[in-house]
Amino acid sequence: MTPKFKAQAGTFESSDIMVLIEPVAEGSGRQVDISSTVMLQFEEDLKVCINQVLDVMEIENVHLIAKDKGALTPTIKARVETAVKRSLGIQEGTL
Amino acid sequence: MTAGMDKSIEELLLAKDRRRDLRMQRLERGCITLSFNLNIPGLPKSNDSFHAFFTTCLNELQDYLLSHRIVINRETIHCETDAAGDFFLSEIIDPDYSAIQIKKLCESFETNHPVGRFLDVDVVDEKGEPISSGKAKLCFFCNNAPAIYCMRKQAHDYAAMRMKVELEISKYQESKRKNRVCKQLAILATQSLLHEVALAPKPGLVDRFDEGSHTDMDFSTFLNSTAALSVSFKKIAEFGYTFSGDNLKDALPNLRLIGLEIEADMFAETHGVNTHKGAIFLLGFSIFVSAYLLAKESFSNERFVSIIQAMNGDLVARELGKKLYLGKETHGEECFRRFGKKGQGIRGEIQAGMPCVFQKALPVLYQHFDSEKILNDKLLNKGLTHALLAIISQNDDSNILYRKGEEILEELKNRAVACMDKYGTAQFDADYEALVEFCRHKKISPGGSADLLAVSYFMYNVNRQLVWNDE
Repeated sequence: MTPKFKAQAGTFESSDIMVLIEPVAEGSGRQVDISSTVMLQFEEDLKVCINQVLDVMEIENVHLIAKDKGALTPTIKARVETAVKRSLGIQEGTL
Repeated sequence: MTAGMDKSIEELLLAKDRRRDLRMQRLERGCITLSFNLNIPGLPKSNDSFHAFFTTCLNELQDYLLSHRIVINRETIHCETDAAGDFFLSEIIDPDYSAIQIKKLCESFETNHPVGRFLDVDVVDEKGEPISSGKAKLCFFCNNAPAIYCMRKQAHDYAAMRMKVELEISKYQESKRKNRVCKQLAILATQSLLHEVALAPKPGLVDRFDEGSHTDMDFSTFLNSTAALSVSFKKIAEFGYTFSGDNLKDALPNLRLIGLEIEADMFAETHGVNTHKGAIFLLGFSIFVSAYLLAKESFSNERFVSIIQAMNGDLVARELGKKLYLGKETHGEECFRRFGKKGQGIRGEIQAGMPCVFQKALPVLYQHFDSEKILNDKLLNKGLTHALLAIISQNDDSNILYRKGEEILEELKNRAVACMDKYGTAQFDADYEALVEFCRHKKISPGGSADLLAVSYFMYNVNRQLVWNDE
């Protein structure tokens, strides 16, 4: 599936993550940008975690920007999933 | 919602979304916002003890901000407990400081706080940018790696981390309670001396209008003496609160040492007049034992009496039976030698567990004060006068015995009993005035009873303010 809308999920509260999704043209592939305010050494871990969600949801073409404030794995997964669903137009409202 | 997503994670994230929305509402007004929450690993994020701790620290933070003249807009305060824990949010009004300066001050609040590692004060500037300190806080659990590192790596067991958080928080709360209880005991002890001496008229005693049977001291002497005593009461309370020995008698030498220091302070302020030696002895013990029991949350009048008795054991035999000071016999020693059991004075009273206080005066004070919200001068005058009569009618006051002999002491006690019987009748005022006149005429001063009255009022207030009203 390919995201159709700009969407976001998450907050800048501590132990949370803000996930922004921008639609890209079919065939342009995945681009995941991370800015962690807390620690750069976890960038790779974060990317792995985010890509796992994108794999499961079969999202191949997307630009995803994550601003991390020290979120734990379950939080990251939930926020990415919500942002993707919103960008696909299949989830309204919170989370 | 994602199938299989943990309900508690879902609630936690919803709560964070709500916090963001609340922050956004305030940002629309172009203000710096300040938020406060606790860093609690694992779930639940709040419970009764975390909430109480949050409230304690929030009050401290608000005082800290006020002291730096960082003004919080009270109308924009949002304070609640949800799935993400306890949360406080407010706007800062017209700050003289920039958001960065406020963040720096809040960091120093966290750093200087004894359990600051569990406190999280966040500042967001007028544009909605969270101000970051740029410093990585160390993990509270291992104190070795940055907190974020241990969090990501799930380096520590949640149950062990929460146990440590709970332990440190309860230690901190306990230290706050200790300070509150000890301060309160010192206040109550000082109040008891002030109300005793202010009470008027009193038979033969110094009061706010009259020197009674005394020529070497007046109201001002007692005020000066009370001021001298007041500064050391908290020290006794702290000693009692923290005393952990198996045998309470082991506390006696240090207790006496503090007592001697207070006596010296008293004599310095009264130019050598003994205003409060008896009161120092009785109140000193009472503060110590009250603090000791309050620390263990097991205060009751019965426990108090049994500890006072255990601590003083055979005090009369030990102290009046042998000479503590070489040379001239003291008044107390002479009294004991001449009058035996009746002449045991204050030592006999305390060895018996202060029956004048617990059996005579306290029931009278309960009867007068229990239904009253505020004890004003008029109420105090009635209740304390009644209690003083109850004490005089029972007390073998060695001051009187030594100076006036057994016959006068018995006559005073009988007159006090008769006067008590008239309490509440039209006859009472005249009888009480006659008793006051009798003491003035005979130059009798029931100073020992005055000390016991102060202790009675102290014990009444310990029950009223620290036992019935605690927590």
